[in-house]
Amino acid sequence: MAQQYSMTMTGSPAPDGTPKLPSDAELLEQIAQGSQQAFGELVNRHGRYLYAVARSLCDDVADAEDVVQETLIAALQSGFAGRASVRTWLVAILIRQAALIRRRKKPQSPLTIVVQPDAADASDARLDLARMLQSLSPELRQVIILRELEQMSYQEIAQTLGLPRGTVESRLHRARQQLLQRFKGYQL
Amino acid sequence: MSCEKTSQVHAYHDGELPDDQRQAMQAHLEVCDQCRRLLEDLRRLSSLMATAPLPAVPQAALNRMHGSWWAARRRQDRALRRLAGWMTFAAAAAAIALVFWPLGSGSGRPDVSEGEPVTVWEELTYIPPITTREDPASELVQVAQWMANDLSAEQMR
Repeated sequence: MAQQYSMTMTGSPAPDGTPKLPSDAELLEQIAQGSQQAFGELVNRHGRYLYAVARSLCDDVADAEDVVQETLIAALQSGFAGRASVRTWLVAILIRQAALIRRRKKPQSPLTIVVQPDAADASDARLDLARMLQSLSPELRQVIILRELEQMSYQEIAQTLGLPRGTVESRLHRARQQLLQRFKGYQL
Repeated sequence: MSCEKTSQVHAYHDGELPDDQRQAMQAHLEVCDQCRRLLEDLRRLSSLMATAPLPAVPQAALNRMHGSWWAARRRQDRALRRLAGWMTFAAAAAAIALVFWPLGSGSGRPDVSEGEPVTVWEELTYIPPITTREDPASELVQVAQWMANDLSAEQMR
C-alpha cells in the first residue's frame, strides 16, 4: 500500500542550482500527488505549533490530540487556496475543528481558570503559550490566537470565524484586558 | 477616569487605523499617559505571546499526527466503498423495476379517451400519482418504477 505513494520530496532549485527545501505550498502540491514523505515534512514543520494552539484551545490533552489529527486529515482532504500562509490556513482549520469538538462535548462545564500565577513564581516565570491562553474563554482564545500568533487583520479574523468585525474587536480587547490583568507579574 | 480613546489604542497597535486616525492617535499618545501605558502593555503582551515557549508534544501525539496520513486514506476508502454500495443498490433497484414494471404498467394510469392520441413523448414522461406512503416497500418499488421510466425513455431515444 505504501508503495503506491511517491516517496520523493523536492523543492524548486535555487538560482545557483543547489537543491533547496520545498516551501510549504510546494509540500502541499507534493502531498496532493501522494507524497507521504512531504506530509511527514509538513508535520515536522508545523506539528508542534499546531499542538500548542490546540492545547491553548482545548482544556484537555486528549481533545487537543484529536483536534490536531482532525485538522491534518481535513487538510489532506481539502484544497489550499493560497490566500494565507499554509500555517495560518492550518490554524484556521484547527480552530474550526476545536469548536466542533467543543460543541460535541456540550453541555460545557463552567470555565475554570487553570492558571493562577502568584508572586512567588512570577519573577522568572516564562509561561508556555497553552497555559497562558487556557485562562481565557474559548471565544476569546480564538481571536487572540488569530491576531497575535497569525497576525491576521480584524477583517480576516471576522471572515475566518464568521463573526462581525465589531465582535472580533470587542473580543480581542477583552482577551487582552484579561491577560494583562492576570499576568501582570509575568515579564509584562 | 478612563480615556475614551483606549479602544482605539488596540486598533493603533494592530495597525488597523486609517492614516488620518493613526496620525491623530500619535498626537494623542504624546499627551495621554493612560493610552501610552496601555500601548506599552499591549506591545509587551504581543511580545510575550510571540516568544512564549510552546508546550512539549508527547510522542503519542506526534505519532497520531503522522498517522493522520493513513487515517485520511482509510476515511476516503470508506467513503468510496459507501458510494459504490449505493450505486450497486440503485442499479439493482433499477434492474428489479425493469423486470416488474410491465406487470403493473396498467394500474393507476389516467383514462385516455379513445380517439385522443397520446404521443410517445407524453407516454414516456408520464409520472404516476403518488400513492400512500404507509408501506415503505411500495414506496421503494415506486421509486424503482420511476427510475425504470427514465431508463426506458433513454432507450427509446
